[in-house]
Amino acid sequence: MIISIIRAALLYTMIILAIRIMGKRQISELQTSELVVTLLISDIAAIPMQDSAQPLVSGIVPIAVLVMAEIVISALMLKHSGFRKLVCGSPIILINDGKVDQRQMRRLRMTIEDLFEQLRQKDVFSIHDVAYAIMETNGKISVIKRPEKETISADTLKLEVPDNGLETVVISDGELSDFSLKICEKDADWVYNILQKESYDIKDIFIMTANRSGEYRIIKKNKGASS
Amino acid sequence: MNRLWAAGAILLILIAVCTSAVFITQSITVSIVEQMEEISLTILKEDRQTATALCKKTIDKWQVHHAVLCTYMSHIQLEEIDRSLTALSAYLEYGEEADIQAECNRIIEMISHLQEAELPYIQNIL
Repeated sequence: MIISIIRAALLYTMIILAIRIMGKRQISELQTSELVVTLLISDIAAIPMQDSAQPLVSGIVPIAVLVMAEIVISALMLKHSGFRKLVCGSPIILINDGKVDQRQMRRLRMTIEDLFEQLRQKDVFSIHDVAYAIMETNGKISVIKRPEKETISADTLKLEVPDNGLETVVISDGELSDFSLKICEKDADWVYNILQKESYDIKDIFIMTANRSGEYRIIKKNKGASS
Repeated sequence: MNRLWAAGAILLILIAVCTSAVFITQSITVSIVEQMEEISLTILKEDRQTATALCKKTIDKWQVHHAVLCTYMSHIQLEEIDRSLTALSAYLEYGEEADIQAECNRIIEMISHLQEAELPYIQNIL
């Protein structure tokens, strides 16, 4: 029993390390090779975790091989577009200039319901609103609406909108974030001055957000909610 | 680029680990097989006392090697060899010559399998 706990902890550490080495792509949009590696790693790790008659190395070695292969394949894909096309395929246009390409849909074994489902997830509720729909190599659909159906932007209305920068969380649960302060180009003194002005103690703050232009919002902790 | 270096380091570690595993298995199995063959020959010469001493020596040696082999080989195969060595020891005390020879051959066969299983032959890969 203790062996199972130790093995599970070791393999867990190994998988976390493997995912970290493979990079952030592994935890967001998965390409074909990344999906294969992720599925294989989880499967390989499960065997020595459950079966103590199997040496731990029999799980660690294949995981290391997969991590190495994944890094090499990603590097090759980055350098050679032909190789990338071979591993990941190419994007496929499903709706071209408002016309559904039925041949491509058949090729992808995609039903019209699947297409509508994906369009709805993109906040498109009528196929007539779509100018182009492209099936990306990670299986997601990118949609370009007809110009008349596009959401109005400040640019379309020729409005000038000030760029206040990114709104970041500078205090989270009573803790000041140096990283967020750097992003919004402020410092700790600026935060403490505001807190003093508003008569708050940092420990009483649940969230404080700020942006580059100095706009801020403060949400106080609820009584009894503090940890 | 850093990741490529990491991949290179992983490759080197894997090559080192796998090559040393092959060499360690090779040296352990060869020495155990030699001792088993010696026991077998001693039994043919009807010298049970020497055979028993040799068997004890082999068991002691195997126990040391078992700990090493356990780190990268299936424990089930290794435990099977453990059991056969214990059985051989008992046969040397009370058994027939045929039983002893059979057990010796069985152990040699199992150890040879261990040796072959680590080598990258096509039949092992497929």
